[in-house]
Amino acid sequence: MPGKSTPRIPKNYEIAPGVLRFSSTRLALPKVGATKVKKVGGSKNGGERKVVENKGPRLFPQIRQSAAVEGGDLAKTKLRKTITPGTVLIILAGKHKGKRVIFLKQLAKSGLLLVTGPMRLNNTPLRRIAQAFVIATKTKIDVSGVKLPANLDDAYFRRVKSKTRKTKEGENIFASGKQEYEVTDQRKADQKTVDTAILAALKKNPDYKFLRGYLGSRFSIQKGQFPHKLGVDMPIACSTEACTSSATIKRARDGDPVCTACFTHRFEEDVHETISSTSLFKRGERVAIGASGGKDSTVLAYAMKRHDYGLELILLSIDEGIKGYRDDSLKSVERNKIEYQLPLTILSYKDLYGWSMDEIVAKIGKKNNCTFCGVFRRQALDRGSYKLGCTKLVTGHNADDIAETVLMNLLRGDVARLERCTNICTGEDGGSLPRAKPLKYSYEKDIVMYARVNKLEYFYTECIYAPNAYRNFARDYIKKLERVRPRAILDIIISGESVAIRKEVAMPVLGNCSRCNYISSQKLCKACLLIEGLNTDNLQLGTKKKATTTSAQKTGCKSEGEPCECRGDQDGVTVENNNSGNDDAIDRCQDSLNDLNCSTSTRKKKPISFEATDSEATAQDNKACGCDNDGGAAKIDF
Amino acid sequence: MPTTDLDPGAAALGRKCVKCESPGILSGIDAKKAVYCRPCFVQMVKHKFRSALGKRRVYKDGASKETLLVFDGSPAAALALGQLVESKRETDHRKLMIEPTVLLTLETTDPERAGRILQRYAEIGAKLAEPGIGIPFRIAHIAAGLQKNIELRVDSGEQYIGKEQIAIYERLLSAMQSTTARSEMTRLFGELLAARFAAATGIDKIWLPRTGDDLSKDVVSFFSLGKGAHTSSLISVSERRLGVNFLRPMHDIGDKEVALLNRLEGYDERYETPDCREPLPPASIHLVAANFIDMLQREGYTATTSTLLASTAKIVDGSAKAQEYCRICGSPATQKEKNSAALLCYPCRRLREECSEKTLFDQALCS
Repeated sequence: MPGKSTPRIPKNYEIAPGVLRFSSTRLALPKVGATKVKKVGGSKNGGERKVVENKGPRLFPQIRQSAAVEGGDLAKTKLRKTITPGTVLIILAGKHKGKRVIFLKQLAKSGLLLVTGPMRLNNTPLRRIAQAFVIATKTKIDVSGVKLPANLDDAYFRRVKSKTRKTKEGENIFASGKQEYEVTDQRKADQKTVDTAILAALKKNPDYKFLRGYLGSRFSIQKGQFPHKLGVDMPIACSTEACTSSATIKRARDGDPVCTACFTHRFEEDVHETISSTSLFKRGERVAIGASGGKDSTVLAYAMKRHDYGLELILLSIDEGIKGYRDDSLKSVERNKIEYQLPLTILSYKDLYGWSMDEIVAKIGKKNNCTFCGVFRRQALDRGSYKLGCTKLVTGHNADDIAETVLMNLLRGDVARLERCTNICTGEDGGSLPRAKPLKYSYEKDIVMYARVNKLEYFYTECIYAPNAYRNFARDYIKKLERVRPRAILDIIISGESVAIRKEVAMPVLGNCSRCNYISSQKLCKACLLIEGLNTDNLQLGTKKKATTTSAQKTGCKSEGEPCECRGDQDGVTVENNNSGNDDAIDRCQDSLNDLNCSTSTRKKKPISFEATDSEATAQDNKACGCDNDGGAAKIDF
Repeated sequence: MPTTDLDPGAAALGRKCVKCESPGILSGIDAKKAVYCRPCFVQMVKHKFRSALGKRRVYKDGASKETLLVFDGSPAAALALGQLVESKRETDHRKLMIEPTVLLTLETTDPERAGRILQRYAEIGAKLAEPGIGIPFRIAHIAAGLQKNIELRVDSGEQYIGKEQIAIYERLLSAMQSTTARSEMTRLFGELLAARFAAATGIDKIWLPRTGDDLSKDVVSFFSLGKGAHTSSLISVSERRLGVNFLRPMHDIGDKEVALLNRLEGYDERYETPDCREPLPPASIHLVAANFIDMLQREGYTATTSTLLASTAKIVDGSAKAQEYCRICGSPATQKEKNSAALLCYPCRRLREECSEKTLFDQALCS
């Protein structure tokens, strides 16, 4: 019971440093309680005023005061049970609001928490912070081996006030200028010491890869979300019937929350459904898997091994000869070979064409290199598959890839490709080796999650030669679309599947290359054309279009939009594009031999409206090395 | 503003007009292709407008001349209205021998905004009613598209058709679970209003104010909504659906050309209604698609619009020939898409799945 000698504190006392008992909003509310009318003096004050009868005591006994104030005793500053050294905390206020930091220790004098980013991960330095301003997560790092410098105490972090001397009369008070805070060398050294130790502790953690991203990301909540209800107290049940587990993953394809086991099961079932509903394989077939070591081909190989399709599977990898990229990804493929116990064949550009990509880029520069790589890779995969006696080639093209390709073909005006790019299996008409895409309806995010959940190792670095390809625009659009409406990716594929070409539109006629006998709609296939250009130092062969004025005068074509090579676009009159038969005018516009032809482009007629050069257009066909960030060797033209 | 300042990009090239010897100061989306002097530019755009209809012989061979222009206050609608008014003036050579009716449409449910738009429409209406022009017009909210048989009479005191349906319209939009679905519903309502109004007034042809740029954005958003098979007809110059002919005379004209012509001919001051169309909602496919096309054009791919329209014109529905049509949008629907309520095409079925009040949806649209 407080006595007369008990020190008193104001009603609105501090419950934590900087945190008052009542907020200013609360203080501004009208006072509650019984009121009485009291007479007041002054002629302008209305004569009387309504006041609360019993306002309560003005001061409270100090025994109510929290001990967690400056000058308080650590013994009285209780740390929450959830906060232990190594706990990842979320900062809720201040300059570093939303950042995830690691708790190191509680400072003795003030009871504040000492935390660090580490600096390299999220730019948060060694700081003190009150536990009232943090949320403790369940993620803990083992920092038992971390020795903190002994000088890290409250005095170390106390702000040094600059001594202001009295200015003499007439002196300019702004002469000294604004005093900017400068980080001392001691602070830098201590930061480095602590962070090095913390990063070493992080690396020992099995989830290091994900912890880096986790600590580097910011926490936020949306409308309707509450920190105390974020999945801890209210777990979401797995959406699979008869499964009682809590959901830990949200499927990108349909947004269903599922547990890990159900996620794996449903993903494999989706792939199996795609394969079985389209009768993609026949038992006894010898099938080559285009393996780049990236996530898609790794997941494809893994998933195909999970079901017994009665197939003889072979891994086929292409070595483009890119140092620092392909040699690393091939190691991943070697691991796949051992893990999945599948034979592996590696073909190199050097063996097939006499040129490696490094040599090609050294010769042509960093422009148009995707044209060469994509064309060569497509043919290499076909040649490799034939050599191995395979009847089919499967690639890891996923739903995102196919949606991008549909969009690109639409934007380029390549209706021939648009018609066939959504086919689950291309080339079955006998023109070339059949290619299948079992992951056609699998979302890229789900593939990444599947690989993570099943601890599949894959290579994930972008090709060092990947330029700003046109496909990146389409990819960017697909990603934005996925954020707005995930279902849209499948809807684009459905749109692509539902289209056919009008009968009056001329389609290319396929033949064989006169040199290598590969499928081609021209005399020479694209690969032969490009090799010819490399060998004869004619670097524009196969990569640049050449205008033919003779044909322009003959055809008098009025192409839609783009300046057609057979006519100068003089009057801006556009071609009718439906029901008028002027498609023939476009079809008459022929290119020279240096056209987008060969197996990578079965267009006999030039897509005049598209501004990109041949090189870009071919690169667009062939989703080239690393443009998909997965080292996708198999990601090329359909 | 002097004409040379309207298109600095074209003027800076310092080239001559492609049709005459005057300095070329105006151009379409790509100044490198062709530049024009002022009179040639105006003539070029007007020719594009008229040839889009003329080439398809829409009004030839004894076809009805009655046409409904759906006016939504946009620059494209202002251009179309301007062309209609020009054709009515006896002093001009009457190239467009049509009998127009104008349907001024409202999208907003905000009374204050609706009031401002109606005020502007009243000014436009006064111009249309001038002697020598005499184009009949009506004002309708797109909610009126919910009426199967549109009641043309308006109660005294009411300025537009469809006020009674606004409550159901708002309720239906609120029941849609995503902004994309709401956007798509708004677009469908606009089409239904036009088609049903035309049917009620016995008009066979409807002009939709969609430019080439708008249609190219529609292509991308239609593909993203699963409408790929029907896209070709939905963006073509002439399309028969819902019992009427939808015409898009500005199919070959870009936004830039529309804006320049409106400025040169004064259509922007006379007919454009700012704030009339609802802005595309954030986080919707339509906005993402529109931004995508705009970005490509800014990046230098100026042929994007023409390529998209050209390639879409070459594609058709690859499924079996449909015997029946979607109850909502009138697109062909195959038997396998039949649901319990009515025959719907795939995109409309997806739309229905996103409505939390399916009974209301069925009653309003499928019955």
